[in-house]
Amino acid sequence: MDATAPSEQRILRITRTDDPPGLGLAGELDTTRYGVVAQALADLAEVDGELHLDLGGLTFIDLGALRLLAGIGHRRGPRRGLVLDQVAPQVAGVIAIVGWGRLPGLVPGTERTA
Amino acid sequence: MTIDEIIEALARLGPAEGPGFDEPLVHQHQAVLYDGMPEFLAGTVPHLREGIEAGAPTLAVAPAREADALREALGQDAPAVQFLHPLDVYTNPVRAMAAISAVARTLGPRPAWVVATDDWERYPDPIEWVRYEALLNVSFPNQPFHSLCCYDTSVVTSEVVDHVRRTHPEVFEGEALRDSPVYGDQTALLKDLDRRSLPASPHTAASMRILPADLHAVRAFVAEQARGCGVTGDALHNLLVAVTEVATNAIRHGDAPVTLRTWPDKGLICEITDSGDWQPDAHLSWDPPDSAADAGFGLWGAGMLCDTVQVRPGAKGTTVRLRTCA
Repeated sequence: MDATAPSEQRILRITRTDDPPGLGLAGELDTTRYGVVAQALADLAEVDGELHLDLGGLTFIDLGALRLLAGIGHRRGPRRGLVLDQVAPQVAGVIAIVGWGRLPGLVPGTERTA
Repeated sequence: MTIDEIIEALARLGPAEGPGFDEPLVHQHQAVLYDGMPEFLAGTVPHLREGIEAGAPTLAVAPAREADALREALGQDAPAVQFLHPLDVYTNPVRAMAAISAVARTLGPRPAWVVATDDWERYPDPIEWVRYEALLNVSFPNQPFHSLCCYDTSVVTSEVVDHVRRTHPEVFEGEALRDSPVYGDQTALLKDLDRRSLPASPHTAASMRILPADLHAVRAFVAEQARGCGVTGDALHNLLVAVTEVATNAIRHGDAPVTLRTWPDKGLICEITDSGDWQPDAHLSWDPPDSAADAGFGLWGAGMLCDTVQVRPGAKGTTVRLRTCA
């Protein structure tokens, strides 16, 4: 994470994506932004199948957010989980350390292109 | 081999039934306190041969010098032992517990023989490994591990030696196996270890007040302090995740003020203190949770992401100290 990033880069930005359906998340995601992320995903509750989260611009995610996303993905039901695309290497490293197996509603998606 | 390769190999073993599987399911947890290679080999070689003769999975976690001595002593039997490097298993007690839990889950009721030793000089908090030994007793009383944990007495402190005796019912000393008279209630020992006061933080420590609305400021502060401590890249990122987790807990469960103090010490130490009276009893065990939804996932995760986590609850507040080594 670039701790000296200007504020507009570190504040969480959420965009709606249509193809595949889901969200793009950029900036930093911690407990101060759980509410807006949960609401954005609740707005997509009717979408069938998996939802894709493009994390290409996400520089930081905390453990509580992984737990939140896994819980939402799990509650959406089988084959309706959250697919994490374009995960930055350091974020992917954190997920690997806690283990995808402990995040039942989350699915590894497309890898980041260099 | 790596621990993941070992687990894959264990998963391919046949069903755990038939002769040899009717023994009582008890964890045999012994130690070797050795000074010099002859004492090391006197305890470990017969132990490994026992595993080989039983036709059971037989593992040796050892640095190159000890591994080479074991291979030479075992001769043609050496290929029957799976050797692992300690850096693959013993990077920190929480990760070691996760690895051992995965091994135990894969083995089921199948017995396994294990010899474990390490280059003890590289650990900044060796007492945390003694704590891990006590946790093994509490967490795996019925896993038929035949574990032999080896400590080089020319390297470890007398306090660690004392606690090795407290956490192993039987100990090889001077090539002879003896009952350890100081082995006792392991849960009580863990409570004692968790009440030990931590070394005082230096007056020169940098500090900041943590405000609930701005955890980015906490990360920026830690990243700044990490400069010059040799904590960079992925290790720094993982520490920031751990600090964020502990700070979030302190805000949620503790009372204001919540304070962060940091200072360099074999890397960087980050200490988060709140003013509440909460009992994070999940820390008493570093058992890996099955799922992120389980209580204790966050603190466990913090333990996976840095090198040492020490939790000290108290009536006037809870202190959590994290260390990431350089």
